Amino acid sequence: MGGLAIASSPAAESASLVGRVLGGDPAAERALYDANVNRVYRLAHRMIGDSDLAEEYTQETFIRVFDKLGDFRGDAALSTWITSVAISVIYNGMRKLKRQRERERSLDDAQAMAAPRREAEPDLKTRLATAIDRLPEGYRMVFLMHDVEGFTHEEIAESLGVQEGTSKAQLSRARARLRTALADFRRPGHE
Amino acid sequence: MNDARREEHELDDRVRALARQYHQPPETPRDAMWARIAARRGGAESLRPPAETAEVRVLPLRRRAMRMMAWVTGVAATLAVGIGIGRLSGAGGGESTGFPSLAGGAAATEPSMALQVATSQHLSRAEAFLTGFRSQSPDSGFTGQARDLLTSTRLLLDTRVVRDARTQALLQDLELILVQIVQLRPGDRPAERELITDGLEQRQVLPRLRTEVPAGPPRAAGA
Repeated sequence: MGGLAIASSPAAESASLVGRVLGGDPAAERALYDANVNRVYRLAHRMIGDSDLAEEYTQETFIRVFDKLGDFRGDAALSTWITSVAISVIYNGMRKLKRQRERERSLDDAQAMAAPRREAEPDLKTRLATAIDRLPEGYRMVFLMHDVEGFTHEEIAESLGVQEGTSKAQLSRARARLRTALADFRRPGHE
Repeated sequence: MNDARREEHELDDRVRALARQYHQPPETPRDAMWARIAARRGGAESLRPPAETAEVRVLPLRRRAMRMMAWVTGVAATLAVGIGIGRLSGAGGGESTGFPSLAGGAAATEPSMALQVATSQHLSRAEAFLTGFRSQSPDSGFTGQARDLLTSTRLLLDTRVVRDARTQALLQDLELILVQIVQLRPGDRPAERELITDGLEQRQVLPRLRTEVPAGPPRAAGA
């Protein structure tokens, strides 16, 4: 944001931005949003796989961020704090979705039993998507944040409120589960 | 063993590369989301990006003026209804219930009572509306009712006549729910509606409304 004052460090810059937002500066609000919206939206989309819901969760995240910005103490980076709000919104949304999808799945299962069909052997990409879908929520979040979206373990740990070691362990377990699920594809030429 | 480890690493690399296509996000629709965020927050000042700051300086004033007009009209209507009810019902009943408390003794009791009754009526309408919304099938008629209630809710919030934190928080939650209902479109998936009803339950809006609204018709003095 070209019009913004350049502060001496990221922390000071964040503090200045937060102060201006709390002071009711609309340009600062938009600057805060612009600086963080991409990572929030991408993370929501990675977790949910639905553009409409990703938009909804992103909006909810920023509404909460602006409502609770006064609570931000600067213990973590502002972007990390915003990510933690986003994760909370995403998890809440996923729990609601889970209930709904369970109802839909029971209907799909009934249809599948009525008309069984042979499917071609799925390729690695399809099998991987299924395997990621089946990861426990926490493993999936860490895997997607670290291996796909490029968050560091430090950022993940602060966003999730866990130790860095926990983040690393969860990533390791997530990768191990994916390896197991995709064991067939170790053989050369099996794509 | 080394071969197994190497295969493992190779598979991990392929997985990481392919995982980038998992739920691959499209370009972030930042302006569209920002407009909706600003609308939900009621923050007219926030609608424009920083590059248009000069224009923003004019627009909020105009919006504030419009809100002030609505405020005046709404307060007049609210007071007219409230005072009318208050006069029909007689004077008195000035004990604190968390509703507006205007200082000034007996002269101030009547408008305070009037606003209390008007607020009570509004919350009662909201409670009836949300109960219907939750239990009935989607109906485009909901949007119009929600919009009316949203306007009244915002008037009450803007006038700051409701000073206790509990009722203010309730009005703010009510505003949020009503905005979501207003934004519902006939073609929206059931999930959209379900998210709203989940929000209703999570925020316990209906039980809180029922707590605020006295049983029976709005309480009148001497009744």
